[in-house]
Amino acid sequence: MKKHMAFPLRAKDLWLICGVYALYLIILQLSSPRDIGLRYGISGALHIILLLGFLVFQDSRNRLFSHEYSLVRFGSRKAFRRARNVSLLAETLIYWLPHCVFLLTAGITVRKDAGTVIVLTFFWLLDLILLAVMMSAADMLLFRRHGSALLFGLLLSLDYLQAMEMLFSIDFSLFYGTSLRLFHKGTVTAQDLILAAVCLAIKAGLAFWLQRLPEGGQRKRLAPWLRSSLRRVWIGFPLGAILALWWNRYSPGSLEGLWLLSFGMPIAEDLSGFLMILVNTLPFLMACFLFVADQSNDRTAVNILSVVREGTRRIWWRRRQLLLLVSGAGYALMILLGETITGYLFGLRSMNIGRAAAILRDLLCTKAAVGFVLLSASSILCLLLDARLVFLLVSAISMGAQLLAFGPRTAFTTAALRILLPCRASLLLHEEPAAMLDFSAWFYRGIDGLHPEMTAVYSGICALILFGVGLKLADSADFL
Amino acid sequence: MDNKIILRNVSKQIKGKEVLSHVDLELDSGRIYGFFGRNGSGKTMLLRAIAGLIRVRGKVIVFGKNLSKEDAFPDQMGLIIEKTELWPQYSAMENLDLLARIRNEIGEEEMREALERVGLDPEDKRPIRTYSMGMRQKLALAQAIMESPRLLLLDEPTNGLDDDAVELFRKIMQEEQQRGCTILIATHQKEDVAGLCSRTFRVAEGKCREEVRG
Repeated sequence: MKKHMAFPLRAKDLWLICGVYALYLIILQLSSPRDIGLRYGISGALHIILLLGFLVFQDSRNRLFSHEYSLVRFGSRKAFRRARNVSLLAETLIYWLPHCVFLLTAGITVRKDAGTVIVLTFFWLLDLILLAVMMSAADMLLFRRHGSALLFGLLLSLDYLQAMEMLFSIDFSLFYGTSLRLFHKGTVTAQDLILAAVCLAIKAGLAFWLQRLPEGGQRKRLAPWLRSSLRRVWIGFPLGAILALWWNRYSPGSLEGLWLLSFGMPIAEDLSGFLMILVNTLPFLMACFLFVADQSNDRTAVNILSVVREGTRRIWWRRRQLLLLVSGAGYALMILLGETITGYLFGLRSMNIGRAAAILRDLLCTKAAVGFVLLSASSILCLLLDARLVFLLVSAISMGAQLLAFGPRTAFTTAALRILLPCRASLLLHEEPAAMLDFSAWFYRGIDGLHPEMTAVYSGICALILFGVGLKLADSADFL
Repeated sequence: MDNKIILRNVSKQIKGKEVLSHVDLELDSGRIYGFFGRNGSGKTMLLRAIAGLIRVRGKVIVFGKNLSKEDAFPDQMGLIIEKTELWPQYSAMENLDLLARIRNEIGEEEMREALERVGLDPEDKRPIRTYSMGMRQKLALAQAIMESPRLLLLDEPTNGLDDDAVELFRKIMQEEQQRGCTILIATHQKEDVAGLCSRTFRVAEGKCREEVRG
């Protein structure tokens, strides 16, 4: 195997594989034996862990290939592609070998039908190899750190939802579903095989096409702030959404319920509720933090600034703040749209379009406003203070406020929760859940009479105040 | 032909703008060539075309290998591109080791020697993300020369180097030339390398003209 790999496996790769399989074994031990997928060594939880690990592993391996210093040493693009594909094959086999061994032994033990299990495992492996090839090709196209891991993370997330028929009522998903469904059914009919073969052919075609495209540098690139945002969306959207669904074993049926999840609010006031907050809030805050830290850390601009006139410095600072706010708001919208659209698609399955659209509008207004204020505040604070400190501060406020909603309601806590925008929905949930279910268009009426649109206006005013305060502070501070 | 680098009517357009415009060049082996010009004048694109990293209209032949036809890169080429950072999580030695494994032509001794030549410590175990700009540039030079290439394409090789390091760079270039290596240097810091070059070219708006020495 070693001689087929252009680059040897590093200690970091091996630790990653060991870590993933340690988690794999723990989940196997903890999972319910009634889980049908588990009989074949496949379940949602296992699958997510293994796939996430694989994306990280492949991303790390792709880094070695996607540098031009590596590329030119292969002599030609053809030789490079050949070496990369052979290496991909070896890497995929190394990573998935333990899992395949388990699949085969468990499957044969349960079904006592070696032929079917071997066919299923074969399809499974082919799927993974094609996934790896596509990911590697996308990495070369994007020439961007973690680019393909993000892209495929997002695609696999959506594909996972479709595999569960949560997006559309069609029994089809490209990456995730085919092999998994075959395993779950445990039998293979001719129709299954045809469907699996069609999926494989589409993926093989895609992989071939991607490999033929010219690599990065000649492709159209996205605006820098959008690229940065897309990178962070990976942390905020799919991870939050999938883990949330997984932890709560949520079955779609109520749109409000799902959207409450996307707010980071628990269905039940127990440990799973607390986990929900953690799972959903932290990625969003982390994403905000990373984005803002990324945007604020422009040392070159600061250095250039130190040699220009005082008047220009102030103008630059104001422009920069404005840019931060605009890009921050755009970024927040991307995350929130991602989450809300998932919710909307879920919702469409259980209610009519008009009603779902009305709630979508309310949620977009509210969530965008919340995100805007959070980002405005943290971007200004990040420029003035240590970015890590701001992250801790914002996290503590947000988490603390959400937890506050669980405690005994006093006049003080109610007032505090009213001020803290992200918690307003929590407050309503705990005070007037019935009002929300019946009059979702008047989402916040029970609290202070504000409509969602007014919430957006209120948030805008908050953001403007923060902006003004930030400018004033910045003018007087000796931070440059 | 096998000892020359030939560009015939080479042009390249990006987003409607002509970054290389009908460039004709014929360069002999074993010499040092300088390409000077402002930022955005097309120097980098020219080197990337010779390295086979971009597809261009026209003909690029490097030591008898037609790059445009074979979709290939020149053999035995060492390269410094603008994006100098390799894999930030690994040490300098590990970075060189990863690259050297692709051609599998050199061993640890050559890698250590390359690092020492550019003034880096092969025993330094720190990941290169902790390196200064100058140290990263030196590492880029080390990876370019470690396999004793026949052709060196260096884009802004003196960026971030202090005076002593620039002097060391010149010395290395002279040694490489004496070994028979053909060296093409693109830079806007003409004073750093002009004295080394047998021929110099002015690149402006995608066009390349030889400078006549007085």
